[in-house]
Amino acid sequence: MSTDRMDRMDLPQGTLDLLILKAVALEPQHGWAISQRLHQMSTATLQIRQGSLYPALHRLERRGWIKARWSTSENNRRAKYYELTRRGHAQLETQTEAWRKLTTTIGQILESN
Amino acid sequence: MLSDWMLRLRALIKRTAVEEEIDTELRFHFDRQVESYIAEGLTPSEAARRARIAFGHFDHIKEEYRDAFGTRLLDDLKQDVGYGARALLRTPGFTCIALLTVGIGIGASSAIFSVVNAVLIRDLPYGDVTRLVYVGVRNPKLTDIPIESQDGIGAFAPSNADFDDLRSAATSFSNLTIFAQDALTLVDRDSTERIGGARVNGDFFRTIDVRPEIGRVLGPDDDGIGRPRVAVISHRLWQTAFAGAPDILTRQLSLGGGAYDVVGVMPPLFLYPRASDVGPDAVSKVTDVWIPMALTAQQQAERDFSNNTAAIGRLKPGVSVRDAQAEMSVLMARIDERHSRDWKGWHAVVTPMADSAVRNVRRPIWFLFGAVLLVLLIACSNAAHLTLARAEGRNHEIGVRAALGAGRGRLVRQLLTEAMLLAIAGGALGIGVSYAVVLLLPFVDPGNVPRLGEASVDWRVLLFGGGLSIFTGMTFGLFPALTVSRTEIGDVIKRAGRARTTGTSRMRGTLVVLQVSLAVLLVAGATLLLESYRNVLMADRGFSSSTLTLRISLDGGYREAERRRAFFRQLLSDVRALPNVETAGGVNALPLSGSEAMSFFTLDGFANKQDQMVNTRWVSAGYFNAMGTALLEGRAIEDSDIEGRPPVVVVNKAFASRYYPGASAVGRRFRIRGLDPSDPPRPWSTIVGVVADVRHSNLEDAPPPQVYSSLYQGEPMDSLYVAVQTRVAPDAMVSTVRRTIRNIDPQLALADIHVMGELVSEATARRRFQTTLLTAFGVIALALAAGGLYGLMSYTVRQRTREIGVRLALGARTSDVLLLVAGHGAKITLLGISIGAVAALMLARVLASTLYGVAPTDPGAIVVTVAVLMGAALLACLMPARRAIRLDPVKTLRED
Repeated sequence: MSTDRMDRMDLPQGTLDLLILKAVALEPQHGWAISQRLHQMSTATLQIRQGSLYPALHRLERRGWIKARWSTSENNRRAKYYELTRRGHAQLETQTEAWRKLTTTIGQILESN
Repeated sequence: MLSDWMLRLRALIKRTAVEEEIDTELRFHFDRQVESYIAEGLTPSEAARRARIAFGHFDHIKEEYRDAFGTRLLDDLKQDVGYGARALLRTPGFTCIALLTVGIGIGASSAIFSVVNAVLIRDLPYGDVTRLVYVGVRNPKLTDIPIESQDGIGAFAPSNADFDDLRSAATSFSNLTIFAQDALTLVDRDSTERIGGARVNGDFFRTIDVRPEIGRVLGPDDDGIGRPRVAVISHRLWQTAFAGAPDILTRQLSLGGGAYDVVGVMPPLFLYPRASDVGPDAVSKVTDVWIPMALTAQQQAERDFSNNTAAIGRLKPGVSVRDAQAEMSVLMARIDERHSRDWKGWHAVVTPMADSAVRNVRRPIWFLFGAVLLVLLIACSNAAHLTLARAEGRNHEIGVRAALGAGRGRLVRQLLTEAMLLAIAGGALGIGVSYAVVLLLPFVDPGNVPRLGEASVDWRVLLFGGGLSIFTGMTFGLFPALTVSRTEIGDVIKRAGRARTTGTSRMRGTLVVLQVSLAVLLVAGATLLLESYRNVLMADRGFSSSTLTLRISLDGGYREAERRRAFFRQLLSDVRALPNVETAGGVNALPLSGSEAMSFFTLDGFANKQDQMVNTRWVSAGYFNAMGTALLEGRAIEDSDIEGRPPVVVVNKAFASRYYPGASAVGRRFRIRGLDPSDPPRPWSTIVGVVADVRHSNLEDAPPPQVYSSLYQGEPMDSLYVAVQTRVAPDAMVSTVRRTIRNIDPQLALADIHVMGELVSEATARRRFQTTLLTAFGVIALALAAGGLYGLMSYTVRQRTREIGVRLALGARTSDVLLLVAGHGAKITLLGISIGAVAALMLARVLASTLYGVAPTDPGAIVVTVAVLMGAALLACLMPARRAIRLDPVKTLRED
């Protein structure tokens, strides 16, 4: 499966948001690190066009689930770091739970013949 | 959500900083990606290429960012404005005409609004004016007195004794005051000047609740016989008579009767009472000095008659005008018992003060405002018409833009932005125009519209003008934008911009019909008013406009009746003896001087009624000649009609025909009855002559019966109007007459020096004001409508160029083409005219009360209107039609 094709496929609404929340859950990350992390976590099956990450980050910031601050990166450049807020944590939990339920249900339906 | 709004706000306010941050963030990502590819072993250029692919389009992402921030709208707006401004500059002709149209519409509306604002909206410079009322009295025996129908209070002030009784019993008012207007003589070294003054009681300033600019106002302690003489002066007088001296509170004011200490100066706009506040009996236009009433015990006890101007009450909180009226009615009914038998019948009238000053101007001013809004509507529809024409010319461009993916909303927004640009620029121009008009207003100021002189472009007017700009922009922008954006894209491009959509041409036709019909409405109104104005000027007034008149007031040195008579006799004979003086005479009250006297009378051999009254005047020999009033029968008052000789009177034609219809009045006997039946009867006078009717109280009503007695056979007055008929220009005689009077007594003050024509001009000023403005509106409307029609016709010709070419090529005669083009224009014009004429007939009813000598449905006015409009329409149609027949058929056909 080519990455291009994956890219054009519409991810279910909110999926990218959930993945981003997950990516910054452990520690503050800048945008590039988040994209690398998503790449690693999905073991390259899922490649998101890197640029579309930023509007999504911005959307989450506006919702108050993540917050951003400027800091110095590992190679000494100014970079914008995102971290999860308390509301973001709560959101990650509920969304993860909801996602599990959804996939389980859909899996059951697909498997029950 | 808070974080959301904070971020949006930051994006709006610190645009560049936010854009830079986005840039930095994306750049950082991109560089790291490139680095990581290089680390994987790619060449730098290949790494950059791969990174770009992985990342996606930079600008696209930024655009998404902006969308999320909501700054997209602003960016679009900036783009639209820039684009619109460039597009407008590319068509300077269109832009100029549209700007002018909108500017005139908004300017005229704002200017008239500034009048509405000054006269009807802006607060009076008193404390809460809604709680101020006039407390007046009326007596059915005096209903003939024209005061009822005029400006101002519409009732008499209570007499001093009545006022005292009312005040001690009334509970509706927190304060109740009374004052008398009085013309005072201001003595300044060697010159004297008459100024408007008011004698006020101690509660006056407290009731009106207005604070002085400097010093103090008059209080109860100032009012009384023997108190120090103090005066409060107007800001105006402080500036003119004292040159704004800072030590004004230590200065004295020299009035005819003595010196007064100035204790206060009122703020600039406080000039109460003005002529418009008190009506036709006003002795001066504004009030510049307030002094205490200081009534004598005898004056205090007067019950039947009053020289007072008005009583003002301030309602207690919670008391309505109706409550106050109810209480005053009860009180006055009780007080009426104390009046002498002949004068019983007084009742109280309570009227809101704010209302009474503008009662008679409210309608005309709103009417003018309505008229100017019609002008604005025409301007709007003209601008819409122009915009539509222009948008159609750009059909191709619009089609291309639509084909390239511009959304319909975006196209509408673009066209609307252009309209708004025009409207706002036109609005700015309009504010300029309104400034100019407000500067010109004093030249048409009738002088009796309260506070018209204070009209100015203040924040309310600016707000109004700004609001109008936006409103007009929306009106004339939205319709064309919607119409044009609805056109089929493919259609437009296929026809390479020649598309003629029936939708837009119907819209344009409708707009022009609207303009024509509104113009008919305004021109018809203006025609009716012009005709009325002409009728008023042409009406037989009964006096000559070229008579020079002036007023002389005697001072304390003329206490004895004989001295007064001697002075008047000497004065008149000296003036008559002057070279270039035809004749001169005296009267107690000139026509249009705002003063009328009435008396009870009895006629010999007539079924006299109780309470019959007649207007009376006292005149000297030569008066009728000097005034140019024709003697119709018998003789005039002569020099020999003096005390001790048989009393005589002259009556006017209205008197003769009312009381002696079909017979001669000359030789009949007349006598004035005393005010009190117990008074000894006055001697009989013989009617010796009949003179023409004179319009004394106003120029528009038929004169009532009038009796003239001899100046020397009645109570001698302390002031006299002198009328002089000169052989040269009256203005040239003023200084000579002044010198003559100074030779007799240098102490006396001359006032009210006028040529009668000036009084006529003053009396017709309000009508002239209204007529001038409405005529101006009519002319503007006509020009705009003709312009609109012309635009439509030239557009039609352009649209049908090809068709006309074909017709001409096939041998059509030029007259056929003319008919074709002109016929279209005629149809639109006729439709507009008939709609407008019907509307005008309905609207004329609103004008009915303002018309004079012309019916609202006057066919003459309608004919004139239709003729004027047809003429304008003909011109507007002929020019494009001429262009049509000059077309070279070959050329037009080759054009496509």
